[in-house]
Amino acid sequence: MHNQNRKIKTLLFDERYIFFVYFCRNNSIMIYRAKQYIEDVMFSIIGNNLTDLFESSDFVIRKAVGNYKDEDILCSVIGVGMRWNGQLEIALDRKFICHSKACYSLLAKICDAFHLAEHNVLVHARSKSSIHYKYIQSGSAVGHRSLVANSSYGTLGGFLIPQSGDGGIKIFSNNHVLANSNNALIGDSIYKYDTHSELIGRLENFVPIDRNGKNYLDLAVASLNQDVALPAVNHLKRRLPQLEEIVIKVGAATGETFGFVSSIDYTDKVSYGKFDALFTEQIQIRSFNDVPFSSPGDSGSIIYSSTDNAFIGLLFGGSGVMTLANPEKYVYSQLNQWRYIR
Amino acid sequence: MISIEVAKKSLEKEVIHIPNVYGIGVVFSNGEKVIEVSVSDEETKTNILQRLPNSKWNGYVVNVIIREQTNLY
Repeated sequence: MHNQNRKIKTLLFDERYIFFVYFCRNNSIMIYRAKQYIEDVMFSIIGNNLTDLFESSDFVIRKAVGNYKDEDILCSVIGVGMRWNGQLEIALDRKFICHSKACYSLLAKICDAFHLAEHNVLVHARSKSSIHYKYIQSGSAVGHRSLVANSSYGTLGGFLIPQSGDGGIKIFSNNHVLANSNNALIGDSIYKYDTHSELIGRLENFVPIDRNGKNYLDLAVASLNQDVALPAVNHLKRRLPQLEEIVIKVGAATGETFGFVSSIDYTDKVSYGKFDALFTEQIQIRSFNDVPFSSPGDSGSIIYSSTDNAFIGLLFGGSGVMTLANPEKYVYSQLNQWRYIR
Repeated sequence: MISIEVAKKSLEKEVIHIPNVYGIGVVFSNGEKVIEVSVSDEETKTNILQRLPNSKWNGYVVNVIIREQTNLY
């Protein structure tokens, strides 16, 4: 919240500018000073908080329109600048401006305060310039570019933040989701799958699938682009699974489902299409009824305990009512420099 | 008597190389831990069962089930 006292110090008709109004008669200087003043008001009381920016500019306009009573026209200054023809341009947020009288009142006040003719000032409404953020969360449909190009996808498991020091937030899912089953190159594009798929990041690393030996993990990590926005996130606990415990996953294909851990020591030959890979010491999850715990598209989902929300496994495959997941302890063996969030 | 986990490992060495054997694990089923072997067809199931005296391995019950191979999701 911004401070009321600071607002008072920045009233529109401040002494500094009255001085200029009386002693400067040159229009271009006055236009420049008016612009500078509005910028000062906009930015001196806002800090770095965008909400404050709009609240404070509301305040400026409220002062400018004086005793205008209609609260619905509390406009916001979203921009101020010099036009090519020397006019002072003041832009108000379109969603706040619903009454031309508000515009006119502001124009009149500014012209009066800075001794400007009306044709020197343009007050108009426009939409805010904005960055288009891409929203993702644990459970979003994501994939390597070659998967998404074929209308295929997996699930974003969770986010990673560094245990210490600086570093960007990363995402993790399966190798076959983000690294196209060993066929991707580091730096390849990762997309959020949707009706309009969007680039969200780059493949950073993956655990290769061994065609001839034992595997414990189907895991890959991607870095995120700066225009990707995350929801409110929580730190994720981790622990070993227990036989028979009830677990939950949120997958891109089947959403939230419940199942129970039926094995914590399962060896399985998993089909990767062109080859089979042997996975050992895996977690098997079964559904409570004939409805599968997971389906194609759910790969990469975090499986977590229904009792304490601890991360216990990373879903990567299945058959009918049986789902297979990598134990979290192997995921952690690769990602122990990071903390999980979801 | 050896543990069920050790028994599973020794049976795994015996059967995992068979092409139509898909998986083996210690599975919780009907209130008890059993060894589960999953295969693709009846013929392979019969082949596995012939290796097991009284459908047991080192004293532990072995369930042989037919299912599809695990696919990537």
